Formats: sequence, C-alpha cells, structure tokens
Amino acid sequence: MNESLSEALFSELKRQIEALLPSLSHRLLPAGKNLLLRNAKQLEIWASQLAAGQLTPDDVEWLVRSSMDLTRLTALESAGLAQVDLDHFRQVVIRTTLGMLVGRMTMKSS
Amino acid sequence: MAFLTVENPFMLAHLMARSASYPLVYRSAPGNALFSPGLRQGTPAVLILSLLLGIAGCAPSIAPFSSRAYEQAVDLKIDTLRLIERAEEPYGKHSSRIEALQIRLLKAREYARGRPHNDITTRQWEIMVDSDGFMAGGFLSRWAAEDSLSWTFIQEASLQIESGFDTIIRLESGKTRNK
Repeated sequence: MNESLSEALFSELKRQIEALLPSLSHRLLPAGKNLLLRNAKQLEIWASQLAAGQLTPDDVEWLVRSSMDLTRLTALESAGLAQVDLDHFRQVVIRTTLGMLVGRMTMKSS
Repeated sequence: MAFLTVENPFMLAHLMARSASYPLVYRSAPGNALFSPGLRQGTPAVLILSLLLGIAGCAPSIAPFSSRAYEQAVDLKIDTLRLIERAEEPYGKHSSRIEALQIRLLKAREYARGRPHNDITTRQWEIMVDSDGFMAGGFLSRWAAEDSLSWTFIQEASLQIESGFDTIIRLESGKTRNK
C-alpha cells in the first residue's frame, strides 16, 4: 500500500474516531451523572417521607435497593448503546477501507 | 485520490469483476500501488479482498433492533405500572392478573435470552423479573408477602420500576435497524 493511500486511510480513520468519541462520552457521562443526582434527590424525599411516617424503614430499604438495581440497569443500557456505536464504527472503517482499495483498483485498471 | 464508499458487498464484487478485466485472480504487477511494497508478486488479490469481505460480513457484537422485543417491553411497562397501582388492595383480589403478568415477564426474559448477541438485554430482563430483586418481579413478591402496600411506597416504587423499564426500551430502540 503506497503512502498516499495509507495517509488517506489513516486520516479517514482519525476523522471517524473523532466523530465516535463525543458520541460515546455523550452516552456514558450524562447517564451516570443524571442517575447520581436522581438518587441523591430521591434519598432526601424518602428520608422526609420516613420521618413523616408515610414510609416504613422496610419500604425505604426496598427503595434504596431498587436504586441499586436501577443503577445496574442504566449501566447495562450505556454499555449496550456504546457497543452499538462501536459496531457502527467498525462497519464504517471496513467500508471506508474497502472503498479506498476498490477505488484504487478501478483507477489503475482504467 | 479515488474515493468510493461501498455500501454493499455485492457491489464490490461487481466492481472487482469490472476493474480486474475478468481474471478471477487479479495479480499484482510491479509498481502496482495497491499491492507492491508488502506483498509478493502474484499475490491473489481476490483472496485479500475476500478476507476483507469476510470481516465486513462479521456478525455485530450486539443484536439488532427487534420490533417485537420493543413492543413487548413497552406493553409490559404499561401493564406492570397499571397493575401495581392496585397494590393498596389485597393481593388475593388480583392474584390471577399478577400471575399472568409474571408469566409474561418471564416470557420476555426468555425471548431476550434466545436472541443471539443479546446478553446485555438479557441481563436487564433478569434484573427486572427477579422475584428476590427490587424491580417489577421483586415488587410483586413483596405484594404477595405483605398482602397490601402503602400508597406512598407504591408511588415511589412505580417511579423506580418505570425508569427500569425505560432503560430496556431505550437500549432496544438504540440498536441498529436492519435495512
């Protein structure tokens, strides 16, 4: 593979990676941050409801544990969506590489 | 620089046939920019391109979008939330509906489990239906154990369970659609 082809290929891969990274961070970071904020807010609400006698200690324990389950579900969601992004990226890289190779072949043969 | 995006492997095969002027094995010639430095003269290009096509055809690491799985998750979310609103009433009054819902939840988990490359969604359903856990399955177990639950607890638990279903729905919705 000559230099111009490899340079073009690497610059295209670089562009794709740069496009992917914000997408991944956009998926992972806000999901975690929102969940932490939501959990903190809910703990305050449950504590006040416990103090007011609207919830029992068993209720609050169940709800806190449900927050842990929800954290696991959210982490799985983020992991799955990141996997979708990576699959898409892999397809783009393969198509770009093949496209360049075929383009080179057709140019040479004509 | 010639640049061409190949959307379809069949198109690639067609282009290969055109560009190689029909020989099934396209042999690199001295000075051929595509193959010259690293490969021996006579290296069959078809073999290399077949390898690339093979990689391109690899299965994705996560299952594609399934409209059935999506609808199943949405239906179960609505039906679960509507049923648990009744948890102030005695369990026995709704036992048949609860058991029917539990079966549907288990079916959704089994459907997820049966799809290839669907481990993440399967783990989500396992958490959702776990009768010893703290989502839909756990709520129904607690209802059965305590016979009825307080209105405040029902409201707070509903928000948690609703958010849990939303994670399953968003993941399914975010999966790649087959063209």
